[in-house]
Amino acid sequence: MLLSKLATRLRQIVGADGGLDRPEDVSLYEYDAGLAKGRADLVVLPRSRDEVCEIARLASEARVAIVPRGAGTGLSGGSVPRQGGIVLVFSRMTKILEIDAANRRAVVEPGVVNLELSQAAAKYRLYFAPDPSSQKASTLGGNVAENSGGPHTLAYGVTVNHVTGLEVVLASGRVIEMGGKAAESLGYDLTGFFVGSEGTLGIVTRITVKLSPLPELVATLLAIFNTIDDAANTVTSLTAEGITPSALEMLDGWTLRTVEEATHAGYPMDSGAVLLIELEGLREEVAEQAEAVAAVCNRNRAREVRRAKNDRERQLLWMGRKNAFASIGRLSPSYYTQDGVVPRTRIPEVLKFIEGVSQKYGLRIGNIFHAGDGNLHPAILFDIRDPEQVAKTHAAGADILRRCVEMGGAITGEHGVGMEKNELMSMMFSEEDLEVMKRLHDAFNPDGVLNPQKLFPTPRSCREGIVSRQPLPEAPR
Amino acid sequence: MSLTAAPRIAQELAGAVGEAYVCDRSSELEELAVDGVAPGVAVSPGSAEEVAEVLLLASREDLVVAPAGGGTQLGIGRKPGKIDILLRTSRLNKVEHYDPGDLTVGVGAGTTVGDLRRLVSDHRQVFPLDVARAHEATIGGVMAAAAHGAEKHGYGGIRDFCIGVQFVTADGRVAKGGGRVVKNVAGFDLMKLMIGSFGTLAVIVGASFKVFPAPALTKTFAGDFASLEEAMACRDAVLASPLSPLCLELISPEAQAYLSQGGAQGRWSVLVRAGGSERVLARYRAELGSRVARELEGAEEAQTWRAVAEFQETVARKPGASMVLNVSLPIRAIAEMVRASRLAGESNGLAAAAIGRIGVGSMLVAFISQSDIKPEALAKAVTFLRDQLPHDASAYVLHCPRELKSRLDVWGSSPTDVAAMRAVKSTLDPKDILNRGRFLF
Repeated sequence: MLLSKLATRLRQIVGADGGLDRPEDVSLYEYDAGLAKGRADLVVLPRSRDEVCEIARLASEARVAIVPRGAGTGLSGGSVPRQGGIVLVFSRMTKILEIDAANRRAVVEPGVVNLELSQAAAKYRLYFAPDPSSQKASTLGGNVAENSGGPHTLAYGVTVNHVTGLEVVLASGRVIEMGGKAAESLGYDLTGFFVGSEGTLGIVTRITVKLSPLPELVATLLAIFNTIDDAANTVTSLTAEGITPSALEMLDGWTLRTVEEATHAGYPMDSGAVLLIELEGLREEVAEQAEAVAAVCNRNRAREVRRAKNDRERQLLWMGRKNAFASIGRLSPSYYTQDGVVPRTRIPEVLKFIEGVSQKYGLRIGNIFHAGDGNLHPAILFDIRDPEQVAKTHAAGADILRRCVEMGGAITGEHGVGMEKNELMSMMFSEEDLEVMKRLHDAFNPDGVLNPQKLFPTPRSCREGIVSRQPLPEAPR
Repeated sequence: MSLTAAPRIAQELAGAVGEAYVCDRSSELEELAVDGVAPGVAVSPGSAEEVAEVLLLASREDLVVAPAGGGTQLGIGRKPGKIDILLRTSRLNKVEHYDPGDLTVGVGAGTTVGDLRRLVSDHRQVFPLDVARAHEATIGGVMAAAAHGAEKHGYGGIRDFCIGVQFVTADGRVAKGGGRVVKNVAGFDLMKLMIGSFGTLAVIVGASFKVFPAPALTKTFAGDFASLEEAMACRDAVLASPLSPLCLELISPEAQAYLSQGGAQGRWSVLVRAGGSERVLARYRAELGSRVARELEGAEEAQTWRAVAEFQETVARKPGASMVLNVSLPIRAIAEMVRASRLAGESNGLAAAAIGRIGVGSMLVAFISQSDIKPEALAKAVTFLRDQLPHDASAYVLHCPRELKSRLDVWGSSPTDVAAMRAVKSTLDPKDILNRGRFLF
């Protein structure tokens, strides 16, 4: 089928306002929040599962790619089309279908925004625990695809720990159900397997999630250090001593000054690093943990440990953290955020390594990360207009991720692989590992219609062509 | 495998894993029988590569393989048509990494749960899987069976704290998913596929886990109630409170007999296990107030939770016909399910005992024949119970009289698309050599 004919058919399905193919409309869907870029031929906005089925069937017949997309807040190019085709946008499937407070579950369409679900559940004193920094915009469908995390995943786990059931449309247009409201279901855990599959196995059209009870008390501490070493050692000591904050974030001196200038969150301008530590639970538990945390910080030469006095101060500290990357964006024409993970005992060591990488390539690297679970987000600053800097940035990023893997870690803790790190998968996985994953992929998406050229390394025979077509990164930020 | 082929196969297996690790003596093989079906040969590979060799041979010769750990859960599933090779993981029992400072541990699949719990408890940490026969049950086995114990309430199921898995597919590929750090979304989550797959997709050879700091102190607050409704009201009060206990367990009056809890006979008990400092425990006591009839600590507390973990084994060992079901369901459906199980028991002349994790919906139900009742009564009871469950619930048999297996669907239904599950099975085990005919489809 010709693309123009396909567009006509698709408009019959989704209505005239649900299919976009004018360049000025389509170009809005070229990016996510990372550096990847790619243009779709068509943007299609379905209103229902049945429409998704018909779209999948037609696209499969015509062998046209489908790239599902939520709010486009991803950081690994998961929702960016790599070889044209259809971008399937869920901005018209945004209903919370049910909040079943008694069972602590919600059933939602994929376009529901993460934070809106927590807001809707708040009247039952419940919330959805995964809290990516993009939670004001990012959708649950996107969270499911990427298995998103956030600061509080330290205590509560990533998205997969909070999803119990899915309805999925396969590339063939067939609808499959998996799981339900029960915490675990008999049979293969396809729900768990599909979460984090980055839109390469199926298109999620309905999600059943766990809702968690809001804690009695939340305390937010800001521990201030003169050196990044002291802060890093504090993280290691906290974990080793069995202190379990609900979030444990680190910002290095340069980053926190940048954040402070942009947001006035109350971070000290002259320190080497800060830890943002959140404690949750019973009043008694929070009080004891706060004392224990302060003791560990002081033993590691903290200059000061502050506690947010009220909700406003608390929100301000978090606003600084959650807007950190936006603040960096004010200073640098472009930045490239990594998502490597190391065992928590290796944090001091990996930070020294990153400093070395920064010097080696002459690039500024800001460190801001989920220290409690060893999930680093070094932001490499560069000028996208300078090809030499672009190349160096890539090399620096790869150096850092390679070191993470050598330390027993991972190339992505929460952002996903997408088209950003697919060539790096072989750092972590053997050919046999990847072959097993590829076969499972092909069992559900045999023609590669769904989100093609993501997650897996490009087969050697095709690599040349694709790299020359899609140089990365090319998006101005 | 045919009798004539047997010596040749045994010889090839000896070539792969060493003669000392192949057993073809019929007296020993009889002892390793699953549902009365003795394996043709038992083999104990010493590495993932040796497992791959065994599986490649089995694939080539179309031999049915049953992976086996401690054998505590091998009776789950349909009766095997045949077992050519029992693949024992007992030699895969190395600790691959344990970093107390990182709160992560990785072990071979043949490591027992008891050994792992002991290893981490020496560092005041917890591997939170308090399953039955922990000194025999292996890591590979509890993953394959998605086994759970009372600690599931506070720590989640094994799917929530398993961070990496190594396995060998039926066609001999040594592969892995995940890794050994607590946060990792690279690649497909193959841990989830392996957990609860009952040895039908691959042979698990190792896994990594998060472990947790041990609480400073623990104490169990027990409420003993005259009715199920009062017990569930207690559960609701705990869930609505700010408390976050380690365990939240229901014990029905019929189940008490298997726990030999003093003082609670004939009552519905709700056990709330709290962890923390004296102040935190005091807060639990204050919140729970007059609902608390007993406080258990020290040896008495440990003994009670041991008995909860062993419930299914205790039932299975008692004389007379009995059946134990694993029931997974939304928490609001528990009370109705427990009522239905008692009705199912009564109308078939059986006692019905219920125990389980009422805060997360993972329950065990036992039907026990009081007299000389035919096993058919057990089959009728389970059918009746399944009919009362919501569509996304499941109730499968953990234990039943062997002769019943041919007349009873031991699995029941799954809410998950069967064709999609079949697609996964035929991808990883195209010749259907792993536990052939034993699982759901």
